[in-house]
Amino acid sequence: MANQRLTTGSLLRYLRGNTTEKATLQVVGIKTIDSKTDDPSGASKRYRLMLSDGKATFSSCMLGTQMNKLIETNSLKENSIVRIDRVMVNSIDKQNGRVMLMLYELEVLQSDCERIGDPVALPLTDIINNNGNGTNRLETVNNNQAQAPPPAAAAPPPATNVIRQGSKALPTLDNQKKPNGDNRFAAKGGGGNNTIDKERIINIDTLNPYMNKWTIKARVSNKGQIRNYENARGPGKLFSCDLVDQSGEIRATAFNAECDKFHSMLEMGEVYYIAKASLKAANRQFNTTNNDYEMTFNHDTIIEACDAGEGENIPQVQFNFIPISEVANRTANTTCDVIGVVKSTSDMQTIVSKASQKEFTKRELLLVDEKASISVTLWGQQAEEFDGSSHPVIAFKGIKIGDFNGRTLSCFNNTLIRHDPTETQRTVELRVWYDNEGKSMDLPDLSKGADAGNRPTAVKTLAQIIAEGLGLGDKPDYVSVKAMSTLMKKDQAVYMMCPEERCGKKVVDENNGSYRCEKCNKTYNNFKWAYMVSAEISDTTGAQWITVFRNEAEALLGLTAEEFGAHKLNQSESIIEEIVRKAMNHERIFKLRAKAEQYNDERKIKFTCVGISDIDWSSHGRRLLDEIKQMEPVQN
Amino acid sequence: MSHHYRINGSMIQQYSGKPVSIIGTVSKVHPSGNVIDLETSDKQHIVVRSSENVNVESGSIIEVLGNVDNRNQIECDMIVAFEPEQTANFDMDMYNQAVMLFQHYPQDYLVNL
Repeated sequence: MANQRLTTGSLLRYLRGNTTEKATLQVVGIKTIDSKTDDPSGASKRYRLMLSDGKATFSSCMLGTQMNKLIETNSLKENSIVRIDRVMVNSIDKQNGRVMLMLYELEVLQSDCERIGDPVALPLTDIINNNGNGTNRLETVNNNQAQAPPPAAAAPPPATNVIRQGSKALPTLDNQKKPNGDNRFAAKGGGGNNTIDKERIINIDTLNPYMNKWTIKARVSNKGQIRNYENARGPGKLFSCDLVDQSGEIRATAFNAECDKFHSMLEMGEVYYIAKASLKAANRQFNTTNNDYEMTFNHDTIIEACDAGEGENIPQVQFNFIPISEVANRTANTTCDVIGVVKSTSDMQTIVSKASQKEFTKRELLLVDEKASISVTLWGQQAEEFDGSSHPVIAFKGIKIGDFNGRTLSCFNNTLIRHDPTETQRTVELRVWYDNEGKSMDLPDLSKGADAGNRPTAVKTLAQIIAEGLGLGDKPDYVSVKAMSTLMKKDQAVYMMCPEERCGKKVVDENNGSYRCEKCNKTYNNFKWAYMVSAEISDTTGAQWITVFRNEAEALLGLTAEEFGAHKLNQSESIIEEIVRKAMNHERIFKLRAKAEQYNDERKIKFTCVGISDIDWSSHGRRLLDEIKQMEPVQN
Repeated sequence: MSHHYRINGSMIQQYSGKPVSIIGTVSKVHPSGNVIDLETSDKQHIVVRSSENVNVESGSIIEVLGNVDNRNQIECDMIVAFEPEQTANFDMDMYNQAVMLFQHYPQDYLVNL
C-alpha cells in the first residue's frame, strides 16, 4: 500500500487561522463523545479525532456529524489517511489555549494504513502563564518530566494514541540540542535549557502563543523609557520596545523585575537573540506594529547579544505608514505611523501646563504628503535638536493622534523619529514629489479648524454619534454619516428671506406686495426664497433630524430655492411631492455639525448639514476593511 | 435557486462541486467562443466553460455564476457582463479582501438565506 504524503506543518497552520489549505492528515485516535441532545433518533454521537500531519498531532478535532457514517462503516478508523476539505478553528477559550478544529468536510483517501512518522503532540501553552506550567499535555516516558498534572482544559488523549517517540532521544536533564519535533518539558525543572538554541531561529511573523520552543534574532528598533504606573494590584513599572527582523516586527514589554533587568541590557539599534517570552493578542490602541500579537518578557526569558557582524541582515525598523489624510478617520489618542516632508518648522515655544504648572518646550512643524498636511508637535530635547530647514522627509513611528482643531500629531516619549529613512520607498517618492510639485502645492490641512466644508471628518454611525455625545462640548463637533433621508418637512422647506445681501432673516409678508425685515428695519417690495429644510436621516443604527440650508439643500433636492419657492407659490403639490420623493431613500454621505443649544430648561443637540456628497464606494469599503482589521486581534 | 458562494481563484479547489460566483477580468476568449480565461480577484487564472457562446470582451470585468467541476474549472450557467462605466471605479483588490472576509466569517455573511 503506497503511503500517502502527509502535509507537515498544516495542523499548526490551521490553528493559526489559515483554513483554506486542504491538508492530508492521518487519524491517530478516535474518541466517541455522547452529546445530550433532544435528538430522538439517538444519532447524537460526536466523534473527536486526533490528527497527525506526520510531525505533529492535535487531539481536539471534532468531526462534523454528517460524516459520522464514515466511522460507523469502518471507512474512517485509526491510521486512516484523510484529506481535509473544509475546516474551521473554534476558539473556546483562547486565553488558555483551548482551541478546536471543526472538520466540516473531509474525504478518506486510504482506510487502512500504517502509522506514518513519529509525530509529537503540538504544544498548547497557556498564553498568560507561559512558565512551562501551562497545559503540558506531553506524556513522555521520562517520569521526571510529567510534573504538571493534565489540566482541565483539554481532556488528555488516551495514552495509547499519544507520543510514539520510537528511538528518538527524549529530553534529558542535561543541556542538549533538541531533536526535531516539538519536545516540550517543564521549562525550568527538567532539561534546564538556559542557553539560546541558535538552530531554532524563526521569523517574528510566525510567532504565536501556541508555540513553546522558539528563538528570534531581532533588532531593538525602538526602546522606550521606564514608566511607573499604579493599578489595583499596586505600583509597578514597565518599558516597551519594538523588535524587528526581516519578516516583521513585534512589540515587547517588560514589567518590574524584568523591566529593570532588560532595560539596562537592551540597547537601541542592537541585535539580540530572544527566547521564552509570553505572547498574547496585541492591544491595538497603542500597539500599531504590524503583528497580531505582542510579547511580554517574563522570568524565563533569555536574551543574548548577537555577535558583531551576525546581525547585519536585520533591518533597522519596520514602518506601517498611513497616508496623512487617513489620520482624520482614526480615533484621537491612538498612535500611528506616518511619513511626510517637513514644509515648515516653527521656533521653539515654551508653554506652561495648567494642570501641573510645569514648563514644556515644544516645536511645531507642518508635515505634508501628496494629499494632505498636518501639524506635528515635538517636545523637549527632540524639539530642540530638530532642524527642518532642508525640508527633510521625516518618518514617525508610534506618534499620537490628537483632535485639537481637527487632527494633529504629537510625539510620545516612545515615538521614533527617522530622518530620510532608507527602509522605505516612500522617502524617495516623497522627495521627488515635493521637489517637483509638492513645495508649491496648497494641501488640505487637517489641523486647520476653520473651514467647515473642507474639514475632513470621521465617519460614524448615528448611534455612535449619540453614544459619544458629539456636540455636548464647548465647541461644535463635525462628523460624517452614511445615511439616507427618510422624512422631510416639505411645507416649510423654503422661507421668504430678506433680499438684503448679508441679512438672511425671514421677512413678514404684509400681503400687499411689501415685505418687512425686522433686522434691517426696512420694508422691501421683493424677497428671496431660501432653504431651511428639516429632514430626518437614517442609517442602520438610528434616525436623526437635521437642518439643511443653502447649497446643501440644493444638492439634496436638486433644484434652487427660487425654483422650489415658485412651485410653492403655484401650489404645485404633485411636483413638490415628486421632488421630495426623489430626494429620499438615496444613500449619501452627510457631513454634519453637532452643537448643543439651550431651549428653556432643555439642552438639545442640533445637527446642521454642512456638506452632502455621493458615496465613494471604494473608499467606503476600504474604511470598513480597515475597521474590521482593527477589531480582530487574532484570527477567528 | 441555489445560492452561490463568492470565491476567488485560490478557493476554487475548496468549492469543488459547489455553486460559486466569481468576479474577474476576462483575460482571453477562446476562438470557439465557449471558453474564457478569467483573471480572478486574487490574480489567478481560471478556465470558464459555457454551453453557449459568450459575448464578452477581453479586459472587461464579468461575474460568472456556475459550478466548480472536478478539473477546477467553472461550468458556467450565467455570465453577468458589466458595462465599462459600471466597472470604471471597481476596486478589484478590495473585492478580493471582501471575498476572503466572507470565507473567514461565514457566520456573519449569509449565503443560504
